[in-house]
Amino acid sequence: MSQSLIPTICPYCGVGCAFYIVVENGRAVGLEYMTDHPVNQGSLCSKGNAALEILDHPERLTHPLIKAADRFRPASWEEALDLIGQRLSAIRHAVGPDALGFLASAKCTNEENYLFQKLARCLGSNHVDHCARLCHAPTVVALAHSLGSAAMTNPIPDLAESDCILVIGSNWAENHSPLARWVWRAKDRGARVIVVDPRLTPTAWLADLYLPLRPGTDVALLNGLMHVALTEGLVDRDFIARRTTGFDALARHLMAYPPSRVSEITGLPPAQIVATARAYASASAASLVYCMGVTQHTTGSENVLACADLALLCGQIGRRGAGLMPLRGQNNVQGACDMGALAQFYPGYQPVDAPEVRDFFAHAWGVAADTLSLSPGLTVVEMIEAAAAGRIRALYVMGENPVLSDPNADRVREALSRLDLLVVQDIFLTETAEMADVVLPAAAWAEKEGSTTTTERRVQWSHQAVEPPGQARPDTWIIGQIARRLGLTWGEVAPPSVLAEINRTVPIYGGLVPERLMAARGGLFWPCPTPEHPGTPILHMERFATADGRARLIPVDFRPPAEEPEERFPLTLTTGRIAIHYNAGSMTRRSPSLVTRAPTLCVELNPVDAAQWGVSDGEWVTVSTPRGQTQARARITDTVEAGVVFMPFHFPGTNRLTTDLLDPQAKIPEYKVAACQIAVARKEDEQ
Amino acid sequence: MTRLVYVQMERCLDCQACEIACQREHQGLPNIVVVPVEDRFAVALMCRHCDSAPCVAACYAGALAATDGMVAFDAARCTGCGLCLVACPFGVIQWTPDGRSVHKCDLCTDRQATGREPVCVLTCPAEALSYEEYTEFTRRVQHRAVASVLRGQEVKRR
Repeated sequence: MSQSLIPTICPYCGVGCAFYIVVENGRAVGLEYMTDHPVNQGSLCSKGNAALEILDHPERLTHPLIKAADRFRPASWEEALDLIGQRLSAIRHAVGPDALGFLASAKCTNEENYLFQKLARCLGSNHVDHCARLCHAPTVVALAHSLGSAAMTNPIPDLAESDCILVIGSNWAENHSPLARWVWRAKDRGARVIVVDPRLTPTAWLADLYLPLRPGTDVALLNGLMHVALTEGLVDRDFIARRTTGFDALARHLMAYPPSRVSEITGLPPAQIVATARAYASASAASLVYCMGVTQHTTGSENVLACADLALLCGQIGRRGAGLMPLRGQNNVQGACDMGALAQFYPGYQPVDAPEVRDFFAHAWGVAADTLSLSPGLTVVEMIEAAAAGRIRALYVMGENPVLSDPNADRVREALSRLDLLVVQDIFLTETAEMADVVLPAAAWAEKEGSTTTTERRVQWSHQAVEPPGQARPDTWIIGQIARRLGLTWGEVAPPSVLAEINRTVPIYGGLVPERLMAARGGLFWPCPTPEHPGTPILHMERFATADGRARLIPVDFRPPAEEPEERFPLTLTTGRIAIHYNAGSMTRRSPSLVTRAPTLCVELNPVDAAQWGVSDGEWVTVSTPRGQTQARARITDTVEAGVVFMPFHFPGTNRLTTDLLDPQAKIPEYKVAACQIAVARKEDEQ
Repeated sequence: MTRLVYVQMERCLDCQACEIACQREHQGLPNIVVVPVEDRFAVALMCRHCDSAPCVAACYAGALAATDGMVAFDAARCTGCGLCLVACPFGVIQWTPDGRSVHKCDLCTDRQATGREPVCVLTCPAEALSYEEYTEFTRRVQHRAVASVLRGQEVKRR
């Protein structure tokens, strides 16, 4: 039997690991490691190794479904698409385009997200957003402000060139595992690794210095680090003078953050703060790696600004081994942002409220300028609020699962139930799809082609390996069909021709032409403005992407989290991810080799708290917050400090507890801090 | 000289990729297991292919045999008595789910026929696992130790 090896990009996190799918008689029969890929070098994490388990899965959606009398019935594509076209059209005409909401997907390709936001915008709605809002919106907002470009500055293998790696709020050992080989190589050369996290995670296992700060006190710590660097003369005066503005105001501001005060706020000994500042500032090249521990706060944007300030003050940016590394969580969350699947941006981060930008896209898309709205749209959480209030009447969801992934989940369900039309396009009948009026079966990553952009801005082409199951179709085809029924004439929507359009409308993608990208093993880094341009692995080497080429130093003040423990809810709940599962879990909870290793929702708590509330290891407990409650199995461990409990968000339940209070700039909810209470579950409540 | 899978214990980050890769390559039965210790580190365990292997000595049926530098298992001869499982000092011979036979690391023999390394080694994100001769392994560890001593000397000289 003849076998072929089809190169592909892993559908899970934003590292963008490549591997081969072994195809035999049109079926994916095995996986082979691609040892010459520049980032993963063959390696894959637990989830990557299980990726093929979702392709032939018995629960895959194989035909459109229409709900009638609270039950789904199979429907033809023709019927389902016609129905969606008619109802969207009717709501648009009756209520106006602002009644239409669109949730794009960080799991879909650049071409799919580009088409999806183009559909929303051509219908007159800027209410198009996606889950980047829930993970790195503060990075997009804050880094655009301070550096002029909202992305990771250096490639992942650059970590091996760092002499100090400062990790804040990132558990990459579990969530971006292939970073491990590059960090170990740095350590073999003598690099110091410092991990800041309220939990002693596997990432902290390899730290030379571990700082268990109180959840939500990142700004205080970062200001304290800058205070020490400044007062000890460790800042890079030359870099500050040549490449930044705002130093004097920042320096004055930092005087209020001596280690003694920072110690009181963060709970960290002053000596640790001083040691961290010295190691980071005096390294010849240092990286600052951060993730959702920094962003998922009501102060997320300020946290990111403080990270950027620290890197700029110490001149640790714009060189090999020196950079600011926000780790993105999904295979194409960077790309979905780049493609304008954000309420305030057209593709390429071009603001929707700028008339000249609006005119450019109206011309490019062949629609009248006044069709396109000049008002920034609603973000993910705001769309849910608008649905609850009856302002959003129809929601078209592509590959997202807000019922699980959004905060305050009981309210999300309530809001979705009020919609006149909910369309969900996915590969499985997710918790959100179960609530839909129409469900459309989509092709999974290996069943279609297209480009995705990794956390490092590396754009890679993924080839089709197998056919989708049943009548499932690629997202580009589905979006094109809906657009046609709404009177939009787009011509061909095959991924290569959509990419060719992206080349023309998104300057940073200008040179990533289809033939070139398909042939580029290891992909190409944006900005890549022309077909001759080699791509840009390291950002900001000569100048920043701001108008005057200088980075902005922006002082930020510590604000406590929005919700603090009180008498009824005396503990702090923080949430995150574990190695075996992925995000809302619709793929990993269906993958046998993964779910058997982590079958239930657990809550981690310190032995001191366990003793106080009478909880034993493995027992079912009820965790409650002002918003709701859920059951979880207790896991007693000293890796969380007393007073803090941790729950992964891969299972239904966790986000019934989290708060939907938002960062005012980036509109990200504070998933990382909620006041909670635990109690041993009563027998009749046990799952 | 024979190549074996070596484990640098301090590198493992308990991601369990090796278990899932091994399971996929061996019809759902993982021959490697990652054992977490007090939430502070983890150790990957698999057959060490001992030179004088207790499991081989215990196997009266001749299903286990030390050949070509590895302990090979012939399922056709296994009676399912479980003596090897008791004899193994590492606990890395396991029952099959039906309890009638056992399974253990075969160093991905099928893959080696086509020049491919064992999957646990290829997949390990932390490079905690390597497939090599022991002299290569010890030389690498020695070099790293010497580099660390040298850095210590540099710090002192400053």
